[in-house]
Amino acid sequence: MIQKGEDLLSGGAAASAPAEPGLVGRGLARLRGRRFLVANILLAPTTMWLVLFMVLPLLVVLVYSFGSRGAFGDVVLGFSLHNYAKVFSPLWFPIILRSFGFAAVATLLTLAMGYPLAYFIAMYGGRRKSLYLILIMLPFWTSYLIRTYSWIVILRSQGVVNTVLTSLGVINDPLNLLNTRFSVILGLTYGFLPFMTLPLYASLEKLDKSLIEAAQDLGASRLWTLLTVTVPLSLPGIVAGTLLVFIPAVGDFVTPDLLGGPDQTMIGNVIQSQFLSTRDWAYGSALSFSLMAILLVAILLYVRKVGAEELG
Amino acid sequence: MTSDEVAIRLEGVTKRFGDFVAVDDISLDIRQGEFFSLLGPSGCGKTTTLRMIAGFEDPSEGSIFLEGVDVDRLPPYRRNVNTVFQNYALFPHLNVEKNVAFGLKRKRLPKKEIEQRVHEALRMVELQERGAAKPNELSGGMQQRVALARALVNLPAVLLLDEPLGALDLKLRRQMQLELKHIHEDVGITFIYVTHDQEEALTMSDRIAVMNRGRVEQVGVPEELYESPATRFVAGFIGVSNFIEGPIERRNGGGVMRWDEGQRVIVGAPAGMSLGNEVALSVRPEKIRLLEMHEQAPEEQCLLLGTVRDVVYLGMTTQYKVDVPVLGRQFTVLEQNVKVASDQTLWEAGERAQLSWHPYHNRVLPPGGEAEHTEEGV
Repeated sequence: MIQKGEDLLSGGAAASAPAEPGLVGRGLARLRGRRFLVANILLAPTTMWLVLFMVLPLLVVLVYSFGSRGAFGDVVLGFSLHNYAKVFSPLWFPIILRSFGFAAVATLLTLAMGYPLAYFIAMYGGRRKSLYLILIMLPFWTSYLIRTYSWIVILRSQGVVNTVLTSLGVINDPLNLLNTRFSVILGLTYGFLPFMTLPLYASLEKLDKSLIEAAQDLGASRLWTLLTVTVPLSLPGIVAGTLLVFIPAVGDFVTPDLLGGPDQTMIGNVIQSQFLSTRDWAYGSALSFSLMAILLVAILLYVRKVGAEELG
Repeated sequence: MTSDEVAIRLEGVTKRFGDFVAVDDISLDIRQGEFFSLLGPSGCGKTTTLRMIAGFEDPSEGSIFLEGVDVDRLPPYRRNVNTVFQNYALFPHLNVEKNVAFGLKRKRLPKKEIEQRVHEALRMVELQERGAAKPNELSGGMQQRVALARALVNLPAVLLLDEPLGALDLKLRRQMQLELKHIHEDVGITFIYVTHDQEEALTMSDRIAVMNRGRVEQVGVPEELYESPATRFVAGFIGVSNFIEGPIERRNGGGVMRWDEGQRVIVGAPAGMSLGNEVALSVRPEKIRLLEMHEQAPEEQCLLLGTVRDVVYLGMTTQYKVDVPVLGRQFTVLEQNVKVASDQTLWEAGERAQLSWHPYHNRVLPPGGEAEHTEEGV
C-alpha cells in the first residue's frame, strides 16, 4: 500500500529523468567539472605536503633498500634483493614475532581499559564530558620521551613502587620490574591509551541511547545489551582505536629502548640500530619496507574480518 | 472493575527531577485489552508516566502494578511490557527480521518458533517481503511498522506507544491510526498510547486520560471528554470551547446569569454550585445557533448578543468568530451549511446577531484552574 505508492513515485521519477538527456547531461558535466576543481583546491596543500615529506622520502627508502652498505656506512645504489633475503632470516623472526605480540597485548589492554572509560564518559559524563576529555589528552602536554623516562623512576629497584612496598613490609627484596616484558607492555599501554579512548568515545557518544533502552525493553540484560547492541554499534570506534594503537606500537622503539632490556628488543630497535649504529641504511630500509608490508597485510585481513562482521 | 480486569494500576505515582515535578500524584486503572491514551501538551508528564511503566524511570513516590504485581525496582528487561519508541529505535546493524526476533531470541525460544512468529508479525504489518532489509533502507512508515512488529511479537501484557506516529506526514498518520486500531482489535493486547494530538486520541482510544502539568485532569471515553469536560483545561484542549463567567442568581431550581437587553445564560443546579458567586461555564461552538436580530429566541434558551467578526467557510460547516461585548470575549460558532445555497449569503462580518443555545449544553467548570487553551481546530 504505502510501499506501492512510493514505488510508483520513484518509478515515475526514474522514467521521466532520461526524457531530456542532452540538457541534463551537459549540466551534470559542468557540475562535475566544477566539483573537480574545488576538490583539487581543497586538497592541494595536503597533497603537496605528503608528496614532499612522505612519498619522496619513502621512495628514497625504497631505492636504498635495493642497494648495499658502502665501506664507510654510505649507501651504494644498485638492484639486489639480498637485503630482503636477510629480513626473513631466523635471527629477526623472534623479534618480529615479539613486536607483534607486545603490540597485540598492549592493544588488548588499552581496549579493555579504554572501552569502560569511553563508555563512562559518553553515557554518564554529563556536563563534565569536556573536562574528562581534557584530562585524557593532558599527558600529551609532556613529551612521550619524558613520560616514558618517568616510568623508570617508578619501576626501578629503588623506585617509587619498590620503596613503598618495601617500607610497608609487603616485600623484602625489591621486585625486578624494569627491563622486563611487563615494563615494556606497561609503557606501550600507558602511552597509547588515549589513542584508543578517543575514537571509542567518539563512536559511543553518537550512539543513539534509545537503542540501549529498546534492547532492555525487549528483554536484554545489561550485559546482553552491551554484547548485542553497544559493542556492534561502536565497532567503527573499536577498529579505529585498535589500528591507532597497534600500528605505532609494533614499530615503537622508544619504549623498549628505555623500559626494556636486551630480551625485549622490538623490530623498531633493530631498524633504529641499522640506521644509527650499524650504519647499514640499505638493510634498515629493507627492514622498514618489510615491516610496512607485513602490517599492511595484517590490517587488510583485520579490517575485512571486522567489516564483514559489521555487515553480517 | 475487579482486580483481574486491571492491566496496569498507578497508585499515587509522582516523579521529580530535582525541583521539577514531572508527574504529580497520578492514580489510574487501565483495563485489560483497553486502548488507553495519555493525552496532553508537551511537558505534561505523559511520556514520563509511560517511561515509568516501562521501567526506564523509577517513581519518586507511589507504586505501579502490572497485572496485580508491584513492579517497583524491576528493571525494564524483567517487565512484561514492550515499547514502540517515538524515533522507532530500530537496531541499525540488524536487518528487519533480526530486529523483530531480538526479544524472542532473548527468551531462548526454539529457532523454528522464532522464525514462525517473526514471519507472522511481519505479515501483520505487511512487511513480509522486506525481512532482509536494513532499517535505513525503509521509509519512515515502514520503520514504524517494524518497530510495532518488534514489540508485538513478544506478546507483552501491555504495549506502550510513545507518540509513534509523530514523525509521519498527515496522510500516512491517518492511515496508520486505522491500522493500529485494527491491530489492537486483532491482538487484544492492552495499548497505552501517548500523544499530544487530541484528534488522534479521540479517533483511536477506548478511554483517554487528559494530562496537564503532571496531573490527570480527567479520565473518560472520548465522547465524555468532549461533551462533559470536567475542567477548564480539558474544555479548551479537546476541541474548542467558549467560556462564560459571571455572578449567578437563583431561578426556579437552577441559576441564571443576566445582562441588559434580555441577555441570559441559564444553568441547571449542579451540586456544590453556590448561588451569588462567580461561575465559569463552557459551551461548544456547534451547540450555538446564530439568529437574526428580529427573530425571537425561546424564553428557556440562553441568549447573547454579538457582532460577527470573521467568517470561515469550511464546506460542510462555516466557522464564525463573534464578539460578545457583555463578556468581553470572542465566541466561536460552528454552523452546518444546511440552509446555505448558491443564491444565499452567509453571515457577513460586521453584522449583528443573536447567539442562542439550549442550557443543556452548558458545562459548569470548577472555579480557578488553567487559563483556556488557545490551540485552534476541532
